[in-house]
Amino acid sequence: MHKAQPAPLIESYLAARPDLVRFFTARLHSREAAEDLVQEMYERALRVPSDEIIANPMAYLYRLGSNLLLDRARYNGRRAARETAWSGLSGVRLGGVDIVDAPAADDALDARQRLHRLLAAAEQLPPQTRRAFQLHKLEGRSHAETAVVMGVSRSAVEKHISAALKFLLAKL
Amino acid sequence: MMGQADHGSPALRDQAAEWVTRLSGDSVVEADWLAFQAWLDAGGEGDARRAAFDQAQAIWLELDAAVQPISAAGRPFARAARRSIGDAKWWGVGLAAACVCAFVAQSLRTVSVPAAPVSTTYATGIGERRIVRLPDGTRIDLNAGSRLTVAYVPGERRVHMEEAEAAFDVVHDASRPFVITVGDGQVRVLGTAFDIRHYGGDTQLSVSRGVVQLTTQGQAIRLAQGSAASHHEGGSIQTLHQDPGAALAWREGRLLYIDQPLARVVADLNRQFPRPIRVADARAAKLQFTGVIVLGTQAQTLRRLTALLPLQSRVVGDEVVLSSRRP
Repeated sequence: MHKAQPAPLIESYLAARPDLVRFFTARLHSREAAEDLVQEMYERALRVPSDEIIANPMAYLYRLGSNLLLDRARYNGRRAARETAWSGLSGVRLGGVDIVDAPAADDALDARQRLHRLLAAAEQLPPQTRRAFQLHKLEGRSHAETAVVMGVSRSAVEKHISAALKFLLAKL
Repeated sequence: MMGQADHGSPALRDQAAEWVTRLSGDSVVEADWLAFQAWLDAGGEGDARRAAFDQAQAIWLELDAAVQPISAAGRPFARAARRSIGDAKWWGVGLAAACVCAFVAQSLRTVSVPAAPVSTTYATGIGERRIVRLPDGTRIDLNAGSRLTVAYVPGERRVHMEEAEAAFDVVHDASRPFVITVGDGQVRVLGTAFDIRHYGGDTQLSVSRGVVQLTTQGQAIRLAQGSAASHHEGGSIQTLHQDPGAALAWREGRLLYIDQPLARVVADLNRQFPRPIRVADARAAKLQFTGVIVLGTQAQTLRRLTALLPLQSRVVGDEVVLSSRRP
């Protein structure tokens, strides 16, 4: 379990850790849940025998994380993940732009005003984009469910959703 | 931060938005992860891609706050979620504000320093972290068990570090160098971000942005972004191979170690929790640790540590005793 020299898998893990958190934050809609998952990945990775040859550590790490994600999804579901996103937001990343230069807690007023502004800006989206944004982002439907409700393809939904995010980013 | 949407070009921002959308989609496979990793790594402009992605993702998560309070208020999620955008907005704003205020009260104190050129000492107790904002906009994040003094005088910004770990984000001002005295060394910068750890005569310096000059008796070294050095009082400066992100992990409640003695881990934990931890036997004391510890309660944190090392912990009187676990 304990080694003086980090195994190649552990080295890859440590190098990729911030990016793994980014990736799984997007999957879980919660940075806190992603931190937990990425930490659990580490504990699993430590149990991989050091003599095991791993051709592509990055792909290996992805599979490790995805399996944990599936295990979790079985009893957790998207809703619970969204609820933990709430507590994640109370952390230093609220209103956060940059992980390293996390905003100070005295930006609370900024964050509140910003959320207000984001939602006001969302009301200026073109009608179809706004509808996709509302169904997916505010009502919590998946891309596929949004596509069914709107009677459009899933890739059209993805285009609307990313257009909405681009619009909001440009507004800030 | 607000109005600071300056992470890269509009094109980069759009790419970041597409990645956030793609990764939060329904069917994400290994190829998406590898493509995402390749996209991040291909950014020749430092971490501009990561910063752009983080910004897009932060906004996406922030918007979840507009939804969350509806279910938090105890209504069935599916039905409540079909309420109008207007309702969601006001719930979101109110509760987000309440939450932020609670957070401010509980875990961090932010201090504004008066503009007058006075000397002020800042200290944190066990388990306490604190953000200090100086009049020029410079920010200092103090880890637990730290003490430092700040004096802004004409022509110089001066900080004296006692036992402390602090992350500095110094606002550039060529006319007023920022000088930190730490042990028998001196750190001199113009505008940059870095972390200094100074305990028991050992100083470690890790630079995350810009250039820093470290001077000790008879030796001066310039450290650029991404580099780190250590120095023991009276000794010479050693450069280290260390990810600057690792040195800053404490700000996010994580302790990251590569081949560190258990004594160092225990010393760090003893600055986080009031109940002291003691290593009972020589065999345990000799352990080296590589890994990440996410800070929780002391009991949770020790469970994480004892899962990763052949150790057991038990509470004896007012202290926690860590001892070797026989195989």
